Amino acid sequence: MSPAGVSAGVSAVGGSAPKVALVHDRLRPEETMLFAALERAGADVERVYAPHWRWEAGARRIDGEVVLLRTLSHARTLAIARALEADGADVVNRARVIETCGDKAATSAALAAAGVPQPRTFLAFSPETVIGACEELGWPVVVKPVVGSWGRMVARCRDADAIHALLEHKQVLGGPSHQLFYVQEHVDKPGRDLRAFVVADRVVAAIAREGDDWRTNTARGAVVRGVAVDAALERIALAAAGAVGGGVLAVDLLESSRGLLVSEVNHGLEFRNSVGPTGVDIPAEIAAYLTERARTSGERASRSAGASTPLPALQ
Amino acid sequence: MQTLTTPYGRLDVDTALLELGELVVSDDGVELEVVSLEPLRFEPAPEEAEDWGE
Repeated sequence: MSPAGVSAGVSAVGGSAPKVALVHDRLRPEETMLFAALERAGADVERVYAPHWRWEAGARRIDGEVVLLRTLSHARTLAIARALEADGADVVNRARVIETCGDKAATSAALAAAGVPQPRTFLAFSPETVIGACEELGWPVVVKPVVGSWGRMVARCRDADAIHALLEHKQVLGGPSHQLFYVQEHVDKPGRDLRAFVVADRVVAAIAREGDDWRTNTARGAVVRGVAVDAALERIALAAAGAVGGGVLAVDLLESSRGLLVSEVNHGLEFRNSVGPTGVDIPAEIAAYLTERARTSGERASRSAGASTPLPALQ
Repeated sequence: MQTLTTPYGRLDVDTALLELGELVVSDDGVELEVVSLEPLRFEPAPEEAEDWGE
């Protein structure tokens, strides 16, 4: 690997293996599984360790090269996506998808614009309007940071005293993102939530996460079970994925009296605990998609004899 | 397996199998990230940041 990381040029020309770059920093089990799956899928895999990578604006073109981003930090991932897209790379997921999924307010806006059902949600900018929103929703309410994951700093507030204390903490924490108050109705879910794994236009697997904690994140010890992908689940998961721009995504859903509601769409999905319970080789599904995408990209490049031919957007 | 001595404790690792970004734990319980293979170099793994994760 060159110090600059993702190599120049388009691969898969003239029958060679389709090239897929995977950008990572800390190696989680997911990245190790993806590397193995890509190799099994016949891809020529380029490993790019993000701390060694650098980008110079306007210095090169890598039109159509397929790059999967697996860095941990939302800010880092978004920056890399923007840089590689500027060079013409075919980045999965695309910058605008990362931007939308990494910000819960942006996700809610995208879901609302597409008419995808979600928990009743308010975005407010002052303690007074937060209290008004909570009273309109009815107690308890769920307050989430607009940027955050693994269920961190998500709070369930049962009354006005609790929300006042939380707002004080957020004001002391400082930082602009803590001054955006994202408040949702508390959905009385049946001790579990659902997650659908979306690869482009398919829901390849789904799980239920069950736990004693009301935040049923696997990072918080929730137990995972595989569930069947029925028509309703497939329809809403694909609609949610499409609303944020599509790609390789995990759509989190809540079962409610109003039907399925989308609570989050994740761009940097984790699946280490989901392969066993579902019996679906999720990394293999992702690898097959990327490899085929790289093959198509290579064929296009071959046809255009090296001309700049960026791929169309995912959705 | 080799035993390496680092400022953060000793490591028992197979250096041929190490990968960039891999986490290893020293006998002092310090999580170290492989940040270079040639030369082999470890640094304490960064703390989990607010914007990490899914």
